[in-house]
Amino acid sequence: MSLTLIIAGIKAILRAGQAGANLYAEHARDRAIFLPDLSWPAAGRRETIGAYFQANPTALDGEPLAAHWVLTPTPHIDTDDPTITDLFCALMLKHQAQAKLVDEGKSEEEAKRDAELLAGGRMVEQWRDSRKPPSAWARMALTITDIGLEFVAASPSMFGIGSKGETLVGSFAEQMNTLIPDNVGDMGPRNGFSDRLLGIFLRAGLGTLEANSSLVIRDENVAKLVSGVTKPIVEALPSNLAEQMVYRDLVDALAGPAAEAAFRLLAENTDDYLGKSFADDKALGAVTTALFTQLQSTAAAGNVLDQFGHDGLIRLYQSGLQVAIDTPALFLASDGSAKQQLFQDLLKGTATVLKDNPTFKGAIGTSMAVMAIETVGAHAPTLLKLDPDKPWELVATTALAQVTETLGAGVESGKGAFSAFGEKQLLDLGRVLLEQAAKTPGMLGVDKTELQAIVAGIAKAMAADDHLLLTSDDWIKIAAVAAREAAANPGRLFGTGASSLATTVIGSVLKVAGDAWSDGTGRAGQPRLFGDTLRDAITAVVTSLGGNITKLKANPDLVKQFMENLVARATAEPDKFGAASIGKLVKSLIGGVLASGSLPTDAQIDAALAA
Amino acid sequence: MKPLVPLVLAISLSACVTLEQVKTASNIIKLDNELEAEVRRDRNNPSAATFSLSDIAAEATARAQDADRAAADAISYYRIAATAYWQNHDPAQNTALAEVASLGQQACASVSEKERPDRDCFYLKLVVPFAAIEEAQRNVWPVDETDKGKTRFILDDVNMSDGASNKDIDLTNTAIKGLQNIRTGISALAKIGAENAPLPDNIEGYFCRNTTEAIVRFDGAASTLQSSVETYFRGNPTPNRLTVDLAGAGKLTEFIGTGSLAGVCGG
Repeated sequence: MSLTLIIAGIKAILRAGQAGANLYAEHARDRAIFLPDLSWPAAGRRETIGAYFQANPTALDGEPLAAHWVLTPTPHIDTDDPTITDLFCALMLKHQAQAKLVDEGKSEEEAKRDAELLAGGRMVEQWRDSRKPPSAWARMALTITDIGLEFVAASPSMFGIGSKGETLVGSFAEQMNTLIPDNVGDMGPRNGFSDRLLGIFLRAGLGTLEANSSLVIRDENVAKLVSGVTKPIVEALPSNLAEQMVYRDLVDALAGPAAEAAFRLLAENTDDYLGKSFADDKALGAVTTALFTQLQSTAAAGNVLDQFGHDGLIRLYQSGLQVAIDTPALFLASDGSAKQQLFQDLLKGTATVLKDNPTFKGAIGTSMAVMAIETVGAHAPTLLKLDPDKPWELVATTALAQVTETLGAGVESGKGAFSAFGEKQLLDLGRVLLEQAAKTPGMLGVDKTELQAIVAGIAKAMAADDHLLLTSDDWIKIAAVAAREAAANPGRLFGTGASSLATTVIGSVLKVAGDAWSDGTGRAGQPRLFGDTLRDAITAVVTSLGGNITKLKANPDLVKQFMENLVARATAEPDKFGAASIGKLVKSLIGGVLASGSLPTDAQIDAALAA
Repeated sequence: MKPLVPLVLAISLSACVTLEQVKTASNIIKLDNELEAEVRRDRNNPSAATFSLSDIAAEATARAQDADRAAADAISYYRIAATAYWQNHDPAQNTALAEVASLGQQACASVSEKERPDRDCFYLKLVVPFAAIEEAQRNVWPVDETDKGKTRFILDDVNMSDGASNKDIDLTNTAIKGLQNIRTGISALAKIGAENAPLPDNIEGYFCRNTTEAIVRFDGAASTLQSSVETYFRGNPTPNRLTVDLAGAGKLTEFIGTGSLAGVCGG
């Protein structure tokens, strides 16, 4: 055995081993190994938005937001205002959603529309989930969303694509910028208050829609409502804490009803499905500001709130709104600015009048005041044309005073027909007198007026109806006729002095009728002059006062004599003179009697009956 | 038999060298596996086996510094040590991290280009900037106080548009410092990329992916900082309570953009 060979063999084996070890070592160094990546935390919101637009600058093409995107020193939004950030976020979400929808197969147009909804929804929900205090916009958007959702749950038929509910919510959302100033920092204590108030109005609007399914509430009406009604309430919020407390309580009590009143006016008296219109937001604002300002100034001291209560005030507010809708010019000065004091004066004035006439306290007083405002307001343009120095609000207050004082005294006395008059009838009586007076030039004023004379005259006549031969409705009809004739014949029927021809003749007819009842036999004596017959006789006599009354003025008892003559004939010939005959005779003969001064002959009676 | 003695010695020594090589190779593999397991470990699962990154780093460093260690093996050990120190996120070990990375790069310089392990040598240049960026991140995206499992970008809590509160100023200054350090790290990475282009195939993807993301994240954060700083200065504050003026802020936030890696990444 060769030693050389052995040694060579051993070396060969070792070299083979070495080669294997070398390979293994190389493998250990060079094998694929795990290298950790640089880790990054989740991106913040603002960072995500900035990075998105850095990577996708074309997303800003044609967008107004592009004005806030600056390219140097690094592409960035030029402010950290959360409102602007939110808008960028919404745009980013929209583009992302759009890209995803297109990837899923939607057309560009559909994707764009749906993306806006998706992005908007995600943004609003982000606000809800955000732990930061929401921006003014976020808070308002969430308020609107939440109220809409309430109604979606309660009245699902109101909502859906293009539905009225969705449209109304959209209209309100568009008005957010009416309530949020350009510089959100200017909102001060109103931040938080305004979105709550907008929510109240939206709720009232949706409630109105719910109750009136055929109603369409137009965008421009919502715009005027918000700027004319909601905004003034927001802006009147005092900064002083004590005053703010009082004001917030008032708003809590009244904002909802005020909003409902405003929407009710939109829904009422619709000639077509479009409903009414709010013509001028400044006029609406004047009424609204007056209500809340007046309440603030008197809430502690009483007066209007005491007099009318919350419900009454809302009714008055609605009447003011009605006038502001129908004739907005009444609340605007010549330079177009709103007359803020006007409705306040109306509230104060009517409260004072009613306070002085406690007969008309509570709901009836409010109804009287509402009637005065609406009636005079409806005719105010004419009144102002006649005498621009007589402010219509003062005329309304004066008219209210004149009606309530006189009728109140009558009710207090309890005499005659007044004893049977209920509140509704009193109101109706006041209305017919006011309406006639309001539409007659010159009948209303701020001094002693024809209206006052008419009311006094009617009241005196009513007080004389001791036998209650006429119902309250009869008296209302008589009053209407008397007022009409008085309007057509200024100064003739109800003088502004002590004399009142109409009162005298009415009294005469009543006396005769009363005597016929009080002769001891009542109905058994077959008198005809009562109820409808008596009413028609009185109205015929009153109407005749518009004709030739020369002889009547010379002989004030002429009417009495005529009526007594008829009653006597009826008593003597009951078969000839029924109730219809008496009515016919009075109507056809009274004019001639007043003109001639002579009582009718038998022939004239027969001829009249035969006609 | 006298000629046999040197041969016997030579044979014995050869066998030892081979054995040592195998042991070293096995150790490198073992440490790599332990490192990966620990870095990937679900730290919320207490039952998973744990390895101490500090111990891995210490062992790898000691082995790398063994006098008899071949340079190629030492480089591997330094790589492992640097990675372990980085992933341990302990500021007290920053110096140790920088040291092993430097020693590793020296070992790289000591071998011929042909022998040099490209991947590990390039990686040893990246690890310190990566660690520096991550350290700076922790101030700009700190743990959320109200939700410890999450982080929060501090500039999301800044709103200069409604007036600069003390909190706004403090958070903005913290962001400025953090982003300055991140920008320093990114600049270092970009320089490393430029100086070593074309990059080794087996690490180009790793470098480009991580550096690109760093740039994108920095630019996004810087954009936000610029918004707040501009808003602040728009209010003409006197005195300026930020640690930079407007020009300084502009320099800090200046857009980097992934285009800056052209020629290094993306072919």
